[in-house]
Formats: sequence, C-alpha cells, structure tokens
Amino acid sequence: MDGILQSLGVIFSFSGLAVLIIGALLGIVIGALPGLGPSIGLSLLIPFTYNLGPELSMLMMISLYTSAEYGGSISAILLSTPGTAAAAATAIDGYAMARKGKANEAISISLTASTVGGVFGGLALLLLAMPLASLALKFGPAGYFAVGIFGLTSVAALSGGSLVKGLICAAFGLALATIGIDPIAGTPRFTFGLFELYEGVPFLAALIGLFAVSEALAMIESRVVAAPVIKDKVGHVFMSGALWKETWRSMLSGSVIGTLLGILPGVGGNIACWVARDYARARDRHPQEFGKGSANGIAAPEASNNATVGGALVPLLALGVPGSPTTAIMVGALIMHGLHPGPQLFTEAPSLVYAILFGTIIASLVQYAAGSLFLPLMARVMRLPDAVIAVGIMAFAVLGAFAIRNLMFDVYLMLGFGVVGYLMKKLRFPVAPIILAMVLGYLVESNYRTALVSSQGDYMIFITDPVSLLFLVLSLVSLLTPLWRRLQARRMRRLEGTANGAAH
Amino acid sequence: MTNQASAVPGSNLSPAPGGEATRKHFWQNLVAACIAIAWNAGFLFMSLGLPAGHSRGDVGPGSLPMQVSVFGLVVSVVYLVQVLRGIDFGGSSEKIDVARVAGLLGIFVAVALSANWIGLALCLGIGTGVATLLFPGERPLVRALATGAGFWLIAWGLFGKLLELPLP
Repeated sequence: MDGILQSLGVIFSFSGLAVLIIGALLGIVIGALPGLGPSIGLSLLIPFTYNLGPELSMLMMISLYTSAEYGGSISAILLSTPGTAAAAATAIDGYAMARKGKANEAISISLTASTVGGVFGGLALLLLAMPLASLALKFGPAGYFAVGIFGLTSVAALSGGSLVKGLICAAFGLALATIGIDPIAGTPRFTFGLFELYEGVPFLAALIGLFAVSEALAMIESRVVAAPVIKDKVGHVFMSGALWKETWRSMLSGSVIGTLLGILPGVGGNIACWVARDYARARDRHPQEFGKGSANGIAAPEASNNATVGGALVPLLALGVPGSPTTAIMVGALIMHGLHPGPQLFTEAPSLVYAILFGTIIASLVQYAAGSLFLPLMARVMRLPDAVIAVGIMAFAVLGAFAIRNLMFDVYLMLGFGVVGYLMKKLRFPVAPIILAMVLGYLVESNYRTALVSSQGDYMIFITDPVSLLFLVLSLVSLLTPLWRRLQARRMRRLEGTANGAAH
Repeated sequence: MTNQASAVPGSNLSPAPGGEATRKHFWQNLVAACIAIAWNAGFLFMSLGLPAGHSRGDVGPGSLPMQVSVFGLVVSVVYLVQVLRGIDFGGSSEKIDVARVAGLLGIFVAVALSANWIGLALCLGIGTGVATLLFPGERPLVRALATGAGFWLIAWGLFGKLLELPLP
C-alpha cells in the first residue's frame, strides 16, 4: 500500500507531471518524424534522465514510448508516410480521409483511439503483471535461464525477412554481452586491457550508435516523400458523438488485440496494427469503405498499437524479459539506475513498479491532453528540414554517449556502433536482435552457470526443472514456427506452380 | 520483407540471374558472410584462451563465449552457403553516397577528437553548423549559422549549465 501511495505521490507531483508532459511532447514529435520512432527517441533520451532518479526517468520514458506510437499516425495521415512502422496501417484510411478534407477528423480518431488503447493496455498491465511476477519469484536459476532463452527466440520475429541474418545478429549481440568481467568467476574477458570495458560494452553507447546514429547517416542520403502533403489546418481534436458510436467497437477490439500481441515476445505494434485492422474490417458492416477513408480503419490500428505498450511491459516487469527493442532499451535505463527488471523489482522497488503500472495509464491521458493542445505545433515540426533533424540526432547522440559515464571513450564507441548499424541497415541485417541479445546475455549467462553450479555440472537440471522445460519447449516452438510457416508457403507456391503448369 | 528467396535450381557458385541489383546483393552478402565467419572464428579463438572454471560444476568464463561463437559460426556458414547457392538476401540496390556519409561521420569524429581542446559545446556548435552544409536546401549559410548557434546554446546552456554535465 505504501508503494502505491508513494508512486501516486511521484506521478502527481509537479516533477512527475512535468516529465510526463515533456515525454509526451517529445514522443509525439519523434513519432511524427518519419524514420524516427520510440526506439531512437528513448535511446537518445536515457542518458539525460540519469539525474531524475528511477521513478521520474521511467515515467518520462513510458510517456515518450506511448506518445510516439500515436505520433506516428500524424505523418501517416498528413504525409501518407507513417512516422513509425506501427502506424503503417493507419496511413491507408487516414490519408484517404485527409484527402477528402477531413484531416482534423482523422487525427481526432487517431488520438482518441490511441488513448483508449493506451489506457486499456495499462489496465491489463496493472492486472497481469503482479500475479505473473509472484509466480515468477518461484523460478530457480534453470527456469530463469530458460526464460532468457525464450526472450531470445523473439529474434525470430524481429528478424524481418531473414531468420539466418537475425540469428547472426543475435550471436553478435550475445558475444558483445560477454565482454567485461564475467559474472561468476570475476575474470576479465576480451577487454584488451582497456579499463573502460571492464563493466562490459556500455549498452547505451551501443544502443545510441545502432539506432540513432545509423538513422542520421541514412538520412543524409535523402528522404523521399512520395504523396502530396495535406496542407489542411489542423486545430481541434475532439471526436464527435457520432464518431464515438461508429468506432467504439473497433477501438475495443484493437485494444484487446494490441494488448495480447504486445505480451508476445517480438510481436509489437507493427504487427498488431494490421491484425486489428483486418479484424475490424471483417466485423464492419461496410467493409468496402476500408481503404477509402473509413473511421474504423484508423481507430482499430491506432488503438492496437498503443495497447501494445502496456502488453509489452507485462513480460518486462513480471519476468525481466524484454519482448521488443523498445522495452530492451528500458531495461538499459533500469540497469543505469542500478536496478534489474524482473519479479524481484516488486519487493526491491515497489514504488518504481507502481509508478510504471499507474504511469502507463496516466501517460495515455497526458498524451491526449498534450496531443490536443499542441497539435498545430506538432504538424509544423514535421516540416523541419532533414539537415536539422539529422545533425540534431548526431549532436544529441554525442552528448548522450558522453553523459553515460562522462567518458569520451563512449563517444568513440558510439560512433563506431553507428557505422556498424548503418552498414547493417544497408545490408538488410536487423539491429533489434543485437540489442535484445545484449540485454538478455547477462540474464542467460549468470543463470546458466548458477544452475550448473547448483547441479554440480549436471545439464539434466534444464530438463528436470519443470519451468525450465516449459520455457525451453516454448522457445523451440517460437523458433520453429516461422520456419514451419515458410516451408508451408513454399509448399503452397510449389503446388500453385504445378497447378498452373497443368492448366497450361 | 527484405528477403526475396529466389533460389535458382542448378546455380552453384554464381549469383542468381535477376539483373544488376541481384548481382550487387550477391557480392554484398558474400562479403557480409565472410565478415561474420571471420568475427566468430576470431571470437572462438579468443574464447579458447580463457581459463577454466574454479568452482565445482562451473563451466568457466570461456564456456558461453565459446558456445556463442560456435553457434555464430554455424549460422554464418549456413548464410554463406545460401548466398553461394544464389539466394538473394537483399541489400542496398543504390550506391552509398560515400562522400556525404563519410563527411557527416568525419565531422562528428572531429568534434569528438577536438572536444578536449576547445570544449564539446563549441565543437558541437561548429560541427552541427558545418554538417548542415552537406544537405541540400535553401539558404544553406543561414541554416548552418542558425543550427550551429542553436546547438551550441543547447549543449552549453541546457546540458552544461542546467543539467550540470561536466562537458570537456
């Protein structure tokens, strides 16, 4: 109870509300700028939140994360260029509606649906995180090792088109995670005598380089906006009663879909938005309107992508396993404050946990207020020249990398990771698995070795421990599902080819 | 989907037919596969030099790095084989604008290197201003001056003074 009261005290303090508002404004701007997204925003923000303390820092990050999911829809509606991948489905009906001269209406649906989705996801987080965490507290090291492996299998979903490239990146991330003093014996590994590497590769420097600097380097090679920009003046964002009546079902279904998919590792808003849109279309009385500016075509994906925020925080808080690159970045923030996410956080830092739980809901409401009041300004920010955005990212990256430990070494390292990230982007290697593996590397290794020490070197402990066995089986299923799907698709193609050949 | 599986039966060591882009992807992926193999082989070699565990049952500090590098090696070899079989893993179809990319990176490396001499805030101001000149647009000098002054103010005022970041 004390934790709840303390957390509410932090949230409703002047500083709490200020960081929520700043986070929301930054999130909307970052989400609205095509090419940027919550991952880049958070990676640039984290180093500067160190002085705020864990509660305020997490509140700011959650606010940014939630609002960036909504912000992506502004450019999707006005430029037909989704600001984030999760707003891709919104671009279809949002832009179509805006071309009919209803840009304001489209944005009002998006903002309202995002808020509804965010609140729903937050409530689900509030209800699910605690029971799951108390269950997870009973896990032993073998169980935790398997949970870490299960988290790593989300690489399969984050690999984009190529699983093999995703796995290479995951191996690279795990290798990076082993640099520094080893967690059990205390032996320095791969440090080359550099004391800066004794604590390991600074996660935030790698993060800023891989996500932000690589994007700035890619940006200098020109950004293409194909569709004509909607120049309608955007002002009020309040949804009419008729629109509420028309869209509430889609908002609800989108929220449920987003929350459930958000909980699954590797599945985020970019998948949930399409599933929610398809579901809403299948249930709609006028499915033919989809694609031509349907209100439900905006409400469903927007509710779902914001609901994934609460969903994605469930495994992070309950198990300590991030299911997405954005939540992996939040793990980095917690580590920066000397905390390790997981069920023990509920006993170690209850006020922080409740600040996250309640903060997720409040952040959605703050996003609504900030989005309503500052929308005309946000619409103007989107027209900032690429030059300013790209050099801005670089400047904040340099400052952010320096702020981690006040070492220029981290700045050089960050720039190096920037080059690696840029080349990976060019060669279509996914960056997200590296981050995920770097975060989970410590969890996997420390529990793997502790389990083996406790079993005196007997590997059977990973099979005999029921939790470990369950998560190892789930990991196998998670890894094999995309392979199985690919084989099925190939078989279907072959069958179609044979049928076409027979027809000719 | 960036990966377009376009395996061509019968193709062994040559890239799949499919135009200039596919051929370019072949070489890009071939180089990437070789780098991945070299990285994992190097990592494995270094892992073998790590001491064994002291406690009973402890697999030692080299165990996980070794397993990770062996896993990385296996996956990289699979990748190489698939590339050599002609599967197009995608890549950059357009030429990298080396001058601009290297220019932007070079400016910020110079910023980092000269920060200890003239101060990070001033370096960032100059660096960001000059960097905007790499981008096309109207009134580049005005934009460069405004951007440079703006970022110097942000670095010095917001981060140096307000957040008390001990900038060099």
